[in-house]
Amino acid sequence: MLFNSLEFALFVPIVFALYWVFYKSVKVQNSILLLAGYVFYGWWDYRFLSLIILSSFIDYFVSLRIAKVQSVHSRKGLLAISILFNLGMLGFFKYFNFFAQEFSKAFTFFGASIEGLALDIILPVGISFYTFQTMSYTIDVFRRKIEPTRDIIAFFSFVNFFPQLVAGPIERASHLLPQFIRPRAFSYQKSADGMRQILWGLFKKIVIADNCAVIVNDIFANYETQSGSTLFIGAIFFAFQIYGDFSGYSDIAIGTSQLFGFNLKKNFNFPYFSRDIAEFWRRWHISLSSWFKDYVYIPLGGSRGSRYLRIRNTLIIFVVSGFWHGANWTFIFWGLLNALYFIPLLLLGNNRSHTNNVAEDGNIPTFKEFRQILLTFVLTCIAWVFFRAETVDIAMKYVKNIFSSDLFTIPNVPFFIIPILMGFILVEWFQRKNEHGLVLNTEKTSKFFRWGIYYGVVFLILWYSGEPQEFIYFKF
Amino acid sequence: MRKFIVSSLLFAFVPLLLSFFFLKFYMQENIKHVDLYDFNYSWLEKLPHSPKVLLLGSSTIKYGLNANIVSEDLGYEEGQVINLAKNSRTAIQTYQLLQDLPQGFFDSVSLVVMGIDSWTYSQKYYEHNTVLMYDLNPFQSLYLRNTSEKEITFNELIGVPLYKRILCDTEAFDRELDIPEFYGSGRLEKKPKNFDESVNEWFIHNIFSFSEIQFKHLKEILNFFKKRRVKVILVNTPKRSDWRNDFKGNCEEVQNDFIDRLNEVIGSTRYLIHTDMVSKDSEALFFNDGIHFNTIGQDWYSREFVKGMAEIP
Repeated sequence: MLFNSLEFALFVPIVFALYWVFYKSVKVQNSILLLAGYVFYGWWDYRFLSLIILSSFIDYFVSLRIAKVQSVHSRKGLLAISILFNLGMLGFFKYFNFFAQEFSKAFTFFGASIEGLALDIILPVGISFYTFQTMSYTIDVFRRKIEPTRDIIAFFSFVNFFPQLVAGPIERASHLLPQFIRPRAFSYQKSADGMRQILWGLFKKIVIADNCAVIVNDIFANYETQSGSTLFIGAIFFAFQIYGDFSGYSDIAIGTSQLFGFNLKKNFNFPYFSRDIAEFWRRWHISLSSWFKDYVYIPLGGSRGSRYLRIRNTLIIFVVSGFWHGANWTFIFWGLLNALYFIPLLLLGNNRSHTNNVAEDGNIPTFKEFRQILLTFVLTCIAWVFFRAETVDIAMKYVKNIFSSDLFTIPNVPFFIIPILMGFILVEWFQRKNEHGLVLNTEKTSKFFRWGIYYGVVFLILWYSGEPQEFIYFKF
Repeated sequence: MRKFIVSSLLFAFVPLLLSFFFLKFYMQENIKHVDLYDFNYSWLEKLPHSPKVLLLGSSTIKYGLNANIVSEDLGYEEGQVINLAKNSRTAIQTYQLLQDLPQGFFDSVSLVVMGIDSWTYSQKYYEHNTVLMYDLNPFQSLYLRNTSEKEITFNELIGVPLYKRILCDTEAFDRELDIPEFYGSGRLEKKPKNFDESVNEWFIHNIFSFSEIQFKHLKEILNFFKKRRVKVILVNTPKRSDWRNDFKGNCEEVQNDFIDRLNEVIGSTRYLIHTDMVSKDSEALFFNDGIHFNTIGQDWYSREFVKGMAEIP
């Protein structure tokens, strides 16, 4: 079930009404959310419900057992069962064919031939998200950071919470699970803000991402015949497409959760206003970055140790993060490129230079800040080419063709999208210190004004709705 | 909670109300634009002679009657019989087409043959024309969107017609087309894509009833020609025996309902039922699928049709 579909527009009010009718019973509310999660997920393909149910069962029982046993050896063994199951499932559905193909290629290189290794399997939607969420629960129980819950309905609801089930934010049990256990009260402010965030997310997805997608698809499909300037604009449009797509999804997920009395963590914090790559990665897909930081980077030693170890850890974290996005060398290169951007900052000790908001005290950035933002954005766009291209070879050619003699000619793109993007950037800039782009001060602005803005956004969504596209991150 | 629900309903009320009227008018208005964008009739301006006979309807007429053969057998010059039928064309679209064509075009027309196939009057048929879906309630729409082979999204319902319309206004009418070889008749050599399921799947009558607005538009079409004193013949083209059996076995009630509704609309208009016309021995030679002729069948039926017309008083 897509967030930008009529099904979802009918589904949410039905679940919302049922859910709040039983506001006195957390157990009934959790059961409703669990059922809603299964309907939501099963709408796409009910057969894959078995995977998510199995994953929930294993992590639920393994965690209870880990908390009970004292022997470190046994605890490690139990943790290994959870990790092996989750990563095994992920590996099979997501990476089996990639490794099979690479294995086959390697044999071909040495003159042998292996065929028929690839399997005809489809990738279950959101598998990378819910496996990471359940794994973090078991790891945290193992580390004794949290106590395992005995409430099986609450735990299953936590794993299957439909707003963030298929594309995050990847929540930690320490943050989300307690919210399933304690009673939830309806809050007008919270729900109204949730609705605003949903509206803003729909705008990002339907107006920004879907319209950019049509242009980007055309440019990437014909990259060999396009001018350098068109290719450059294509990379910029893809940057907005993926941002509108993924952060739009996160906004809808966070907003929908608020309707049910939940708080999800912020997943995007206006990343394109970052002044260096380190800041970008603190603001982009925050839930995944922090997951890798806590469960991979820090266990590897983090930024402690020798220069060699710090470089090694940074390379590992970025490459693994790239590989998480998909079983293709393009994602690995994308991760590697980001690591190369990041390592100089790390070695110079500048990776935490920008922890505040840009132009903190006003709305006009300094020339230096503007230059930094621009440079970071261009570097990011070049990396996005690897993310979007079908092969590394195509990405290389694409980047090479950007820097051709016609880089400074007029690009061949439809110009109707430019004012929309400019308006979008301005709104995001002025809202960069807030939770999302549609936060309005209810005390200083009249209802008439606010509703005018909301209706304006609704109108733009209807008027500029592009060719419908699936959410990019569903693939992951 | 109450405040939130009231505010949400109030907020949704204005766009819902506006979109309700907007969609009704906008999409009705849009039908002709989308249709003309898909099928340009600029070639009608190049006809060598004034048209005498028009063939209207959906694919059963487009592929069922060869305009050149009908013209020849009726003793007219080539190009005096024009086939304006189109795949999936509904009565609404046919009516819009009649409105869009220059009204002087009908001055020389003396006969109209229009295909009548019950399933094109079912709301289920809207899946082939998303712009018509404004006539469905949200649950029907949801069902259709999820059962249709072609996934229809909310954006497609609004955005794509809008996009096409903008294109239409600037491009579609500028395209110059030559007169087609068979004056609008199609020649079917491959099996059409959408017709694999059992015939009762074409209706799903418990969810999608017959479309009132289709019948209204059929009545308007008949009035349109009545005012111009043009004779109209409605026809149910031949069907293959396995399809007929399937239809009789599964859709008897639906068909009775259809006939009742049709009789209320057509009055004394002549209605030819040729469903059983092809003998079982000839079926393999004539049909491309259960309801569409191949080129041999089309030529045969065109001649038989004209012969049958001679017997009509």
